[in-house]
Parts: sequence; structure tokens; C-alpha cells
Amino acid sequence: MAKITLENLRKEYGSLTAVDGIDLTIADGSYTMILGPSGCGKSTTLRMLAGLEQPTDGDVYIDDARVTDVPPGDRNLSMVFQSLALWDHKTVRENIGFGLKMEGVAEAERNAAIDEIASLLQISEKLEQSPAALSGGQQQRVALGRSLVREPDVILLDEPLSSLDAKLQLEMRATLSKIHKEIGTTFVHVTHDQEDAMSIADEIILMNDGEVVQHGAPMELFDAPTEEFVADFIGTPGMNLLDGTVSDGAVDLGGVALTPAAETIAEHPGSAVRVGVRPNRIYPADAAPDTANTLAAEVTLVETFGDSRWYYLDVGIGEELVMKSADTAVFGTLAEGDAVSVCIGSEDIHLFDATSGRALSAA
Amino acid sequence: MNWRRRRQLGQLLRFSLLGVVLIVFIFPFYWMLRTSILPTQMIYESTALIPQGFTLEHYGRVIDQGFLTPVRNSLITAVGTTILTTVVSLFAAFSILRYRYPGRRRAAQLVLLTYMFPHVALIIPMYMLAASLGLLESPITLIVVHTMLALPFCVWILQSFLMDIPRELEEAALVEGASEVGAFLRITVPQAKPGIIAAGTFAYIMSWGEYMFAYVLLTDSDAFTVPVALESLLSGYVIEWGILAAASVLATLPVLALFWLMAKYLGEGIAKGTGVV
Repeated sequence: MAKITLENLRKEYGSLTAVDGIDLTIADGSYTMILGPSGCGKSTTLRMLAGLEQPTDGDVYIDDARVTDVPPGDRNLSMVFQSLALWDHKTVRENIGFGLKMEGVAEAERNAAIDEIASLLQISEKLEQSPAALSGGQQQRVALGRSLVREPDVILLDEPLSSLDAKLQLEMRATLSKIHKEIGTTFVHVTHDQEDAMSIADEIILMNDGEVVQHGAPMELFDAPTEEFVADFIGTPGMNLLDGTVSDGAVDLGGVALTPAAETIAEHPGSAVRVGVRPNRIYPADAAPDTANTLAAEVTLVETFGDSRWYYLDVGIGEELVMKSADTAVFGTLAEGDAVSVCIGSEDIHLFDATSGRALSAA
Repeated sequence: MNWRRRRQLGQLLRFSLLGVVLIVFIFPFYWMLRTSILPTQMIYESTALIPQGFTLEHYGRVIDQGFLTPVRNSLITAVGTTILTTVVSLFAAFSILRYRYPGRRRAAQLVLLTYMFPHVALIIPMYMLAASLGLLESPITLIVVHTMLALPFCVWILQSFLMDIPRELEEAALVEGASEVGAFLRITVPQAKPGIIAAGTFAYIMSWGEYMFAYVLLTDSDAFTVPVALESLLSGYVIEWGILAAASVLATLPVLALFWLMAKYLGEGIAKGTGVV
């Protein structure tokens, strides 16, 4: 159990800045996901946390102790690597027990701990085999077992699910979440997949270009993105984002006007903005909870996902909007080519500064 | 001609070619073996492929003449060279791959360039160095010289090998509490086993067969290695072919034995090291 603090953490490779001064605190016992597109510096941040990468500047603290210069093995943390990094020349038992052996734990005690973890992860029968002989899912469990068995303060996971096929990913995701709830250790998990992050994280740190863009609970990022990048990155599909201009208490999208909550635009007359609306916050008029803004639209395309459908709407402004609906009543009535009235609640309209990308409502 | 028939023909052609290569390489060895077990009289008279007589007399005389001393000397030199070369080249390759320092990449490229140097040019300085250090009769001199000859190639082979071992394997050990050297010895070295065996075998064979430096640096016949001792058998007024052949067979056995033991790893090691796969 430990909290982690990063202070002005920087990493430069020659002229390239991978991590550009990060300040944050990861709460003790939380499941925190570091999320971002590839090349955003999330893995580098994790590796600096692990001690595998020396920061160019700044410090790492684990439970208020400065560990910036402490070698990885002395930080009392463990790590699941993207490639899993299992040692094929050792048995599964030796793989899992390696850390305990390094700590000088006696063999009998070591074996007891290994057996316990193996039964928790359902790999007891595989202990005497080489990891190379195991399936992808089993290898994943061995890697997880190796990082759990020492009961470290922090468990780091670097894209641990990306080597698995889609179905196993979901299974493993649930396993990770259950294990976290059971042992309560701080988990720091790096991923590029926002669905992974949304589904099991207590907190998400969203990174872009070496900086933290937003840090908060998953629903905070979903409902109150502080930047256009967050709005676009989080959600399946991401937020609808359109160009607009503030005028007379409304936002002009080029022919169509939307009225957002009054306080968000009061101070910005005439500003160029980006207007965001979550696809699941657009409703057909007869099912809408809030009819403040009603638009006439034509359905140009329907994508079917079983439990939900995505409707591409032409509202006469050049760019299309996506409406996501899980309402089976809508499925029956709406088809490609149909004309439909759709509604957007004024609280569901997000505005971002057109140049800085910052949320206006957050100002 | 149908497809199946054409494939059979291709197969046949391939095996015939292999057969020719095998005969070219194996026949001299077979002739040596044959000569070593024929009674002296028959060596001169018979040209039959299948030996018409059998004797172990030549082997007995080779051993009586003290040929086992050079075999022992060669073994000491070759094993010493193998161990020294493998350990040094392993750490050299590791350093080139894992650490960052000025000239690192240049050093890695220059390693093979040392083979451009004509070795003959080094003989005189080597002799003078060894003489002034009083090490002319010691196997250490030859071990050091042979290590110098084998090292660049071994560093090169092992470098290609270690390059293919993911860094994460070592990092996982670091996180689990191993030291840098500990992670290298416990994780990387076992993973590089085929490469280490290939490098070691190369050093062993090179040292076993090296003649030029051994001939110049060893002045006492008690310190002779196998190639030098074999040569001395050729320098009499009469060449006793039976004895020469028997000695040659004995000289080949330790290398053959090594190949036999390591065949499994050698193919992979050499192919990978030279970038064939």
C-alpha cells in the first residue's frame, strides 16, 4: 500500500521531450490508469516510476520517500510488462518465485506463497512447466502471479492486455479488477484503450504530448472534459465536435443555432468555439428528456452493434453528427434516409476555446 | 511431366549434390582412417577402397612416441582459450549492447576489422613479448594469443545473439530485485546459450588447429601442441605414413567429439550469429 507522487517529472531523449514536466499524486490503494495515444509518454512515465528509466529532471516519491535514485529492485514495486517478459528457461514456479528468492525467502516459505498465488490464478497444474508451453491467457496469469507474490506496495502494468485476443482481454480485465479489490494494493496501469480505462479505473490520468491533460474519475472525464482532446478521446464514439461562433446567448454552427447553459457563454460574445455533444446525449424528439434544442436531421447511415446503434445525422451544417442510442423503440422506427427531429439538452452542450482547446465552462 | 514427378526429380538432384559435397569432404578423412589401420607394407601396395588388412600397430607406436603429450598440451590450450574467450566476449557484447558511452558503436564495428591485420606481422612482437616475460614454455602465452585471434568473431556472434534477447526480460529481473550483473547472469546468459556454445566451439576449434603462432612461440618439444607435433612427424628423412595417419586421427577425435555434443546448438548459433536467419 502506497501513494505515489510525481514532481515536475521530465524525460528528454536528445531533442525529443517524451515527458514534459508532470505533477500528480496517485492515491493509496487506487486503480489508476494512465491513458493516452501512442507516443504520449505514458509508458515512459511508468518506466520512470519503476526506476527503469532515469528522469532528466523532477522526482518520484513513494509514500513521501524520494526514490528517484533508488534502483528498481529496492522500490518494493512489481511490474507486468507488455511482452510479459517471462523467462522461458525457468519453470513457471521459478518465474513466480524469482523475486522472493532475490529477497532471500526460504524455499519452503517461497513454495507456499507460490502455491497460494497459483491457485488464486488457476495455474496450479502448470507450475512445473516452461511458460513457453502455456497459452496466452495462462502466460498472462503467470506474469501477474510473479508481480503479486511478493505483495509489493505498488503494481505497475504496462499495456498488459494488448497481447491477448479480444475475448480474453475482457476476461483478464475483470480478473485484474477483482484482484485489485481483493488485495487493495495501488495499481498503476498504462493503456491506450479508453474502454479499459473507463471500465475498471478508479482514476484516469489522460496524457497527450508528454503532458497530463486531465486527471480524475472516469465519469468526470466523460461528463466534464476540461479540454477538447479529452472530449474526443474518451467515449465510443468520441464526442461530436463542430466549429461554431458565440452570438446572442447562442452558438451559431453555420445555419443552425444551439443554446447552451447560459453561464458558459455569457463572458465570450463573438468567440470562435468548438461545440461538443456526446453521441448518447442526442435523442429523437419523442424520447427526449430535454427539448431545449431541436434540430431537423436526415439519417444518412446506421451502424448496428446489437445493444446499441449509431445514427449518422445530416443537420445541414456540412459536418455530420453521430447519435448513439440503446433504445429498442428507436431501433424500430429509424432507418437510413429517414427525416427525424433530434433534441440536445442545454446542459449537454460543451464549449471549447477554438485555439487553446480548453473548456469554456471550466473557466 | 506432372507436378509430383517434377518434385521427385528435384529431390533427387538435391540429394545427388549433397552426396557429391559429402564425398569431397569425407573421402580424405576416410583415406586417413584407412591408412592408419593398414599394415605398413599394404599402405604402399594396395589402393583398394576397402582395407585388405588390419593393425593397431601405428596407434601403439604413436602413443609410445609420446604423442599424448601434445594432445594434453592442446587440450589445455584449447579449453583455456575457450573459457577465456567466452567470458570476455560475453561481457564485451553485453557492454556494447546495454551501456551508452562514447565510441561504443565504433568499437563494435571495428571489432571485426582486426582480422584485416596480417597475423604474420604480429608473430615477431608476440615472440619478443613472451620471451621477455619468460612465458615461452607456458601454455598461458598460447592461450592469450589464441584468445586474441578468436575474440573478435566471438564478440560479433554474441552481440547478434544478445541483440535478439528482449531487454524486458532483464528489466523484469531488475524490478524483482536482481542487480544489473545478476540479471545478466541469471536471465540473459541462459537465454543466449546457443550463441555462447557457438562462440565457444569456434574458439576451441580455432585453438586446436592453430599452427603458425604455436610453431613460433613454442620452442621446447615438451610444450608442442598437436599441429606442431604433427608437422614434426613430416620432417624426418622417411615419412612413416601409417604413424602420421594414426596421429592425425587422434588429433581429430577431440574436435569430432565436441561437434557431436554440440551439434544441436551449433547450427542455430552460427546461422543467427552470421545473420543468416
